[in-house]
Amino acid sequence: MSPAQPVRWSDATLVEVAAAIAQGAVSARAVTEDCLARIDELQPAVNAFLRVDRAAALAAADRADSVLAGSGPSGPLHGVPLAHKDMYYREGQVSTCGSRVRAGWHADRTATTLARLDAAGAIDLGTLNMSEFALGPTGHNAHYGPARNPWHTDHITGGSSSGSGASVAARLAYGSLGSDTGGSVRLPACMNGVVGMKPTYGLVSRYGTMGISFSVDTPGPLARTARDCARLLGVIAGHDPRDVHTSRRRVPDYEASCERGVEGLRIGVPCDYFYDGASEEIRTLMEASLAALEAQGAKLVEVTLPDAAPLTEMGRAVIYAEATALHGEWLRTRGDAYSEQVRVRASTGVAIPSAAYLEALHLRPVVVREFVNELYAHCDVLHAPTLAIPVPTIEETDVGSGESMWRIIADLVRCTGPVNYLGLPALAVPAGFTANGLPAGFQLIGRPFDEARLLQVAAAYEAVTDWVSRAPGLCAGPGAQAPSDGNR
Amino acid sequence: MSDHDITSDRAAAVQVMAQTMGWQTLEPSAAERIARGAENAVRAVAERRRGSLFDTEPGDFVATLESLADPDSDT
Repeated sequence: MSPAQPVRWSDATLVEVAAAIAQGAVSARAVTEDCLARIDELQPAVNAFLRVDRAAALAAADRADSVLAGSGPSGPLHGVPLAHKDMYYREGQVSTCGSRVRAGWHADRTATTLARLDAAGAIDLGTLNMSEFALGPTGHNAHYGPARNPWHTDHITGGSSSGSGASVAARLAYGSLGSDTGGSVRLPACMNGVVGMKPTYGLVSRYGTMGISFSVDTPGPLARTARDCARLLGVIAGHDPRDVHTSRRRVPDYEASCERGVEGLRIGVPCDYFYDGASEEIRTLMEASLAALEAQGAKLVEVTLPDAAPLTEMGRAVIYAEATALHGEWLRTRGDAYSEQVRVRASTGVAIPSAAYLEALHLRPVVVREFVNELYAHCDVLHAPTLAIPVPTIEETDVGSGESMWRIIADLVRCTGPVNYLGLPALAVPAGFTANGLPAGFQLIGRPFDEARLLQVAAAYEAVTDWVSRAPGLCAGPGAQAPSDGNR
Repeated sequence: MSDHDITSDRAAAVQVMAQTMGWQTLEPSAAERIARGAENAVRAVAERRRGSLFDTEPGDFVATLESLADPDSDT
């Protein structure tokens, strides 16, 4: 984007606005004010924020401008406004975790991820809506109201990182941290038409972050483009002595991978599981996305997945047991403060025998080794729908804790759930719109620590399509377009 | 034993465990839904079992993931 052109900074990507700030084409204050004005305008419609830290954000922006004038940019996110799911703790600040239980709780530590974003120069706009305690894939929240999809506010955003998906799509922030334990980054990314990375388990520190399941939880970024995601991931990834489960592997240059193209890369196309029950619309969009990659030299390889169906359930044996352990005391003393659905879900571990939980954990290295060795002998990256059905409405999925609860959850996480038990990286990429005007997308699933390759494929796809530059109608203006064929 | 009896017993077992944990009383319908959700998960683990765990070395999961990474993926 040329600084000489008249621009709406909200149309710029994270990487573009970071460059413009670093070059002095726009101040951090002006960009932050622009985001705050858009939040004022659109928050009533999308309910993406739980708290806007206006004064702190403007003060940080002023400091960023001052530092820039004195010594240049402090890092790759200098002056860029972000906002994060309200489960990333900042010392002294309230972090509700989307709950009533923690409505007044002040964090006693700062998440490593937030500290790294701060050090890279990012501005924090405030905290974002989320499913209560991150337990829910729809984005409903009985206490703070649902975040609403900027593409159509009657529809869900997906969860649990509901505000992350909505805020990035509505151009209220340039990027956001979500977390993914069963699809909670990828589903909101898909449903809101943005890019979302669920990193390999152990790549990103969870220190100072609310847990659901310490064996499965993965913090991850959502942003408008693959390259934006690459930048955020490059900042937050890497070993943290305060999270013993983080890997000591070197963090690669994720942005450089976005330039590599897909010539000769083998894209695995599953012939089962991920397409069972997929709508025709989704199948058509998936075929179009594969054709776009093939046209750039990727080789499509049909693959049969090693036993994917039970993986989500095995993951649940771990997730529910650990979630119930984490919530046990509050379920005893503050059960009334939970919504009914979340209370039931947080309680499910009481019916998981400890032997089954330990067995699921014990089997995990064996299962992932078999899966990776079998699948990635035939392909470099697996391509699959993120959500196999069109985005449903808030009303359709407002099922409380009734009989439909498990079915709705199962339908939504069908394509995302297996990845979490395996701990593999997966990147959600926008790939068009269904007839209801809501976004749809595919996910790329890779070998452990192969995030760079996922970003490489996504960037190549973005280069020949324009889905990621579309803005929802809420933001109607020169940059907004109606859904249509996205091929350039 | 009829399906109804099994369902009732299953919900009752969950209610007893919840009570033992000191939680609020669970409605039978909520207890039944918890039992059903947990049952699917436990069954999946049982069906995946191939031999005794005595023959499986406990593994560090992150180390396993690191060992499965493409050697070129950190460049």
